[in-house]
Amino acid sequence: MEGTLNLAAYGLLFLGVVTSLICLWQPNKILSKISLATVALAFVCLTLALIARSVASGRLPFATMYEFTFLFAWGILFFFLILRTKFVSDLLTSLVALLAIIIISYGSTLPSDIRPLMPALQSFWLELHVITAIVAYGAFGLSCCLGILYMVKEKVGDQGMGKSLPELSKLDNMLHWSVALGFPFMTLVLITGAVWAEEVWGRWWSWDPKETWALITWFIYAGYLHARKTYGLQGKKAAMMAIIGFAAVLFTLFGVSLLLPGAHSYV
Amino acid sequence: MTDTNSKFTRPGGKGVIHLLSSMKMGLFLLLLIGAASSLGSLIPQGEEAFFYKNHYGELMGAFILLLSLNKLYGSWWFILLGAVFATNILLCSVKRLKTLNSIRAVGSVVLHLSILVIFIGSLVSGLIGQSEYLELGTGESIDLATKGFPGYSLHVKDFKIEYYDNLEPKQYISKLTLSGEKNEVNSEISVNHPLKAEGFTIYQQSYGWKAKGYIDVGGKEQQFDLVNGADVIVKENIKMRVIYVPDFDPSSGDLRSRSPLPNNPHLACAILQNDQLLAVEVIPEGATKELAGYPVTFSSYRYYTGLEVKQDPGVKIIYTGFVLIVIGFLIRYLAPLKTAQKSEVGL
Ligand code: HEM
Repeated sequence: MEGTLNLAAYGLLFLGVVTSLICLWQPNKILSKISLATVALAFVCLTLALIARSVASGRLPFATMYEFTFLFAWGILFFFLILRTKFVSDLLTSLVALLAIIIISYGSTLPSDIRPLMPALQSFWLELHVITAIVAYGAFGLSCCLGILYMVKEKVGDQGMGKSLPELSKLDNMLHWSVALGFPFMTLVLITGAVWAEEVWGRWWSWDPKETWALITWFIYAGYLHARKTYGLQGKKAAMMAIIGFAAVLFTLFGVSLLLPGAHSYV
Repeated sequence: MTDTNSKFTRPGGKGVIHLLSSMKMGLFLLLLIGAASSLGSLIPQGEEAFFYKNHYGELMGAFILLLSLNKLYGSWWFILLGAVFATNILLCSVKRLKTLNSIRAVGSVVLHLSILVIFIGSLVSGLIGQSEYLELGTGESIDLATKGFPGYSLHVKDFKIEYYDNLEPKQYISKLTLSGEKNEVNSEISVNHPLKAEGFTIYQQSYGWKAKGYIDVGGKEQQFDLVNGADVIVKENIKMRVIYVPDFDPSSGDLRSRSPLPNNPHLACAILQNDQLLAVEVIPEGATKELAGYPVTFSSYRYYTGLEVKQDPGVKIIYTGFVLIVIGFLIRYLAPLKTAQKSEVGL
């Protein structure tokens, strides 16, 4: 059940990328609506897949890296669909769908078997940790896509694919909005993770690479918020920072497990 | 707040204070601490000195050791960076105290000062926090003074494991009694549910088996009470190693247990002379078998529990900081706003 739903989500996202790319090349209102609908449907499929997994395992799907990659993609799509009420852009649709595909593809290579929760993972704090991470990383993912849109808009102006994009200042504001939303949740990610580690091992902070990179991520976005507030940082530099911030998110989630030695053995 | 560059160039103490309380400094420190932290995640931490020389070459290795990049997060310069950052946040917040003109601004100051609280908590934790790992068999006690916690003793009444249907562990549970000079605390702890009392936090960390018995050495009974896998010295050059098998499979004779449950407890014993195997026997509970001329009796078995015993007043401070950060955020972002202030806060 879960597998079929995930496959459907994958196929729909793929369709979403193809249709929105066609729209970029040959603007078409109907096709644009279709591409949005496929992404929305993919979101529904992912939601159902996560529910199916929860039912099959008798717990929330908050324990393994496999589960988190799907939640991560879910969060990004969720914020994309919220932003959709503000403006519609084929470029944003294709970027978000592509990002979701990449994340899900990586997740599919991870062990997916449903196992009962080991004692260390049976923690309310861990659940809060994961929930807040979905929000924070979803919002940051979106701000990264907005940063890319900003760069594109700045380059092409009102020509070509720039036509369907909002004004630069609006993009910049939305980017700020998504970072300002993600930041308090990122703070909660760090706090709940620290409390969990303290309750389970008695070490609230141990500088393992995953923790360290989560902290670095937090610093980058704190830098963005303060530079914007005090120096009015805006425009291309701000867009660049949103992209770098999200690169740090991706590195925390995937790069650290793949490249760096660490003690974050569960996820 | 506003920075004007002229302030940096002002001579004397005032200039330093201005610099230290500036946002420029804050951003610079964020960048510096972030960069240093990432370096610590790239260079393996806490290895022996020769590791770095082998791995990075003589020169780079010496450089790493000179700057304590092998123990980066505990090095004096990293802690100093943290302290300067904390000072920066403090000064910057103090400066704003004079101009607090909305509830949201109060929230912002609370939010910033709570970072300071966390920093202080981690210093307290590092300076006076103590933590010791110990293993105790069920029924055993320990005087915690021997571990650096005078005035207290700890007794393990029982230990048990709960399993899922597929025999994967669901929870590890120890029943403990912590006795002080005045009080006695009885408590059941498990993973994620430590005991918190009398300034102690005691964590369920590990477990294993212990086996009891005796070995007859030329008519003299020599008792043993060993952790699974440990050795007992029988004579010079001769030792016995014990492996406890909770669910022995007699048909295969395999020393791997069929299940984690003590359904058919046996003790596998090996007599070794200068690490050469002389004899092996698998002894059922209560039985005696002879190994290389030594009769060995396996009397009983029980669990031991691995506990982390901690006293750390810093944690309370850190948790207070966490609570304050959350409160600060809530006020900073959600407190009601007079319309006139909206543009001022920039929302
Ligand atoms: C990692 C450390 C820090 C965190 C987590 C933090 C957090 C925040 C947050 C969430 C805001 C509100 C931002 C917005 O509305 O866009 C803020 C604003 C501000 N921060 Fe920080 N900050 C940190 C360090 C600093 C430092 C070092 C300084 C001073 C040098 C500083 C000074 C300010 C000022 C003046 C404001 C504007 C007032 C306000 O909007 O609340 N912060 N900070």
